[in-house]
Amino acid sequence: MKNLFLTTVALFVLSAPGAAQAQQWFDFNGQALTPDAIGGTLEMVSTITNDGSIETPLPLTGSISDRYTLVINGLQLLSDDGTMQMYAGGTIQIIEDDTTPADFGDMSTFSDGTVILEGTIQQFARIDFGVGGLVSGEGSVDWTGGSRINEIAPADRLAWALVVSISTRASVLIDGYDENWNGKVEPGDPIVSDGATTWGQLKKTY
Amino acid sequence: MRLQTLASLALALVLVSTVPANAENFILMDYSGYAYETGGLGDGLPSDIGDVLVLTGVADTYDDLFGVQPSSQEVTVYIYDLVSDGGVVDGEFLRIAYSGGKIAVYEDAVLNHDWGTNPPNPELSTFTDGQLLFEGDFTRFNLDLKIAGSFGVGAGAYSGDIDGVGGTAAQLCDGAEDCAYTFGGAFSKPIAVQLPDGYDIQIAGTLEVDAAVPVGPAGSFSAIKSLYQN
Repeated sequence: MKNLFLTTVALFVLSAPGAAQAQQWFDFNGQALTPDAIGGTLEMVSTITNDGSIETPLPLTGSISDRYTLVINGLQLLSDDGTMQMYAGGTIQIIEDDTTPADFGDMSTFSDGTVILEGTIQQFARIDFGVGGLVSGEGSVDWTGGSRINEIAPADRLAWALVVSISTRASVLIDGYDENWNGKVEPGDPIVSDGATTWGQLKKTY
Repeated sequence: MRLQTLASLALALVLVSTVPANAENFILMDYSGYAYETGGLGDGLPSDIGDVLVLTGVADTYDDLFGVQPSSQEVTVYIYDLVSDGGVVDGEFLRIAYSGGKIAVYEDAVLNHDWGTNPPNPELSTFTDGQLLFEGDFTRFNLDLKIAGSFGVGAGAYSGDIDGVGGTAAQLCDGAEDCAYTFGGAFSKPIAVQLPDGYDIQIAGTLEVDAAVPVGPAGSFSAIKSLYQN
């Protein structure tokens, strides 16, 4: 009976969420090429911009915006009713590279390096509000691979929110691109480290 | 002849000093955060006439011209006193115009931002501590939300024009009206995640300030005169 009690306690401690955590997300700012017709694909290259004080879901090192990029490829346009475009099927990657600076003049400079996270975009809705250039987008990401995927528990890899503020203002648009994408991808809840504890330490608490 | 020369000099001076800023003369800040409106907003809640919208954010990146030291300084954005006109339902959209409204941007050596829960709350003071970097009055602010349809319900966007009235960056405005602009995505439930209790909207936006361009030696009267001395 006592063993059953302790086992129950141990399971509770190891699976309990941590104390209230600060918000976490990957913030990115980049440029997109949009498709001309249904069936075409959207490509987006960006740098991760958590150089401020927002924590990233995975610890990143060094000058983040110089070292980490976020890239979306093959996001296919499925429908367009003039107000809302529906996309699906794309891939999203977070890449670490401290050798080749990302350069919007050469999209390949965003994709070289080590893919630390890779996932699929389940769906993405791009909504044009029709006034004042107001456009935003929202979708869902499942992480499926990458060199650091195992740092995220399997249950925490699914249904991350992808939210984007989209602009075509000249002030934020780089020549050759169609749209500026300023957004973030984030888990439903902050990712917490596994809480390792010894049996002895756990018993001491009782 | 002398009068003609002086007239040419005067015209040249006027032309040089009124050269409009080009796209490269915007200084940019990228921020993320949360917003709330008195009485709630989104997820089935309307925006009632007189409701007041408050947006709070933390800058992720900023132009070097802001003079902020990344990592050792926190930049926070506080937008307040935006009064709703009650909004208009336009098909699948709720379109809200706000009157009034102010923006204040602070740089702070203490990285202490904390949204807390159920605003307004004491934690909001962590967005208004530090040194005032930019302060402005909104001359226009609009927020649109998608409130119906099969997809994208809860997605929105906002934009506003700003007169700079204070802070270091406002000096870059050089007194020009509508010298700043903010734009962002706005996401209410069910899209918004990690939304602290009591907040209605998640935001991801940018602030652009028209940097008055130092025109250099060619902008001085003596420099212009020198053009006519050869």
